[in-house]
Amino acid sequence: MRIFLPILAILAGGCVAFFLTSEGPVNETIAGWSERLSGTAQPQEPVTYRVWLHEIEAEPRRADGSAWDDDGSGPDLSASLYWQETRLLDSGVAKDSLIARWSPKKLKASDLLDGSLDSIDLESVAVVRTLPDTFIELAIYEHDLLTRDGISFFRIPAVALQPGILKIRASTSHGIKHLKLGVASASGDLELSDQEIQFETSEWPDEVSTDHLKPSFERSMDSMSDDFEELGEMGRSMFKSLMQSGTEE
Amino acid sequence: MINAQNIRQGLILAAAFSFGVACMLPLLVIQPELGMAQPIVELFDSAAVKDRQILLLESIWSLWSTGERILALVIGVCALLLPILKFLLLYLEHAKSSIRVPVKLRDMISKLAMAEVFLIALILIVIKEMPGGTEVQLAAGFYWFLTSVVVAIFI
Repeated sequence: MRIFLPILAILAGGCVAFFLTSEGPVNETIAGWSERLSGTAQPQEPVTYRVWLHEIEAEPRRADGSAWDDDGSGPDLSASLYWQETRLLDSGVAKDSLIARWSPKKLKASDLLDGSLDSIDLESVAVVRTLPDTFIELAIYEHDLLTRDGISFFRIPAVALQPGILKIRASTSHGIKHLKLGVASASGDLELSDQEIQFETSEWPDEVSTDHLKPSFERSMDSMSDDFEELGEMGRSMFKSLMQSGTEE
Repeated sequence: MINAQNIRQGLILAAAFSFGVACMLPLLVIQPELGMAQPIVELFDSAAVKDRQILLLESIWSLWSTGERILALVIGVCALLLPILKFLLLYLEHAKSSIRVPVKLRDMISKLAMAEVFLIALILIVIKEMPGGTEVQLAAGFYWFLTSVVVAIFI
């Protein structure tokens, strides 16, 4: 039996190397032990991630049962991503799609021509940090010829971010089944991990204002309406007549 | 009782253990650097500009699966089977075993089992000669392998 000791030594070396380098229960256990040895688990430090809109899947019809477009074509979807009430990313419009997808990579001819191309210039991502009590907010729009309508809003805590695909299900149907966010670490290759994380309850709560998600035109109109409101009944009627004249034109 | 024979047996087992570790760890890491073209290549094929780890077992399997079966067999025999056989024969020679190992056979296997040194040198030379700023870094597996070779020399 002793003559097999060298083979056992080789196998032991291979096993030790495999378990130390592979991500699995052994490594998690070792990490747990080292955490216990070093004291109680430290609170998680905020992590910076690159986030982008990966996919939105819409229902075949609107929430009220009507078709998305009058000509029977699919919705023209776009989405905006906000963090700390600041818009960080606008997706392009995916025309006539029930499943709209976007890439986190872009290439602008102007970047190529001016010669100052850097890898960060090729990324269409929002950089966010998992600060407590902050939220990643997503507004999904359906585009018509002239306007865009907000059809669904999602709101998830920033601390829920982790590398992979964050799949956010719509719990109440506004015509959207789910959306997927791509999340990658702040530096390195911009690669989408296969790990999919489900996030169930993310619809916009009623008590939270969606004002900052409105397009600038809508916000101006709201602000103007508030100013007229302060003037009382006369102001209201003036605003109404102003709006009517605008529509007639 | 610790005597020279026991020390030799321990060294053989240590060398065998190091060889086992080296087989499972990357020997080299190739770091592609394409200069100005890097962001454009990265845009179309991000895998092409990623650091690439070279593992002995993975390389042999890669050769086999891409149809280079003769080369895969030669490397598999020289880099895997013969070193294992070498450690086995060395151990038999130094253990109190009734099996006699012909010295000529052991020497021949020892020579052939050095083929992986030639392979690593070849990879280093080929990649260092490539255009662009691509670099090759020696990884943990290489040092484990080196330990195995050095320990085996002193037996």
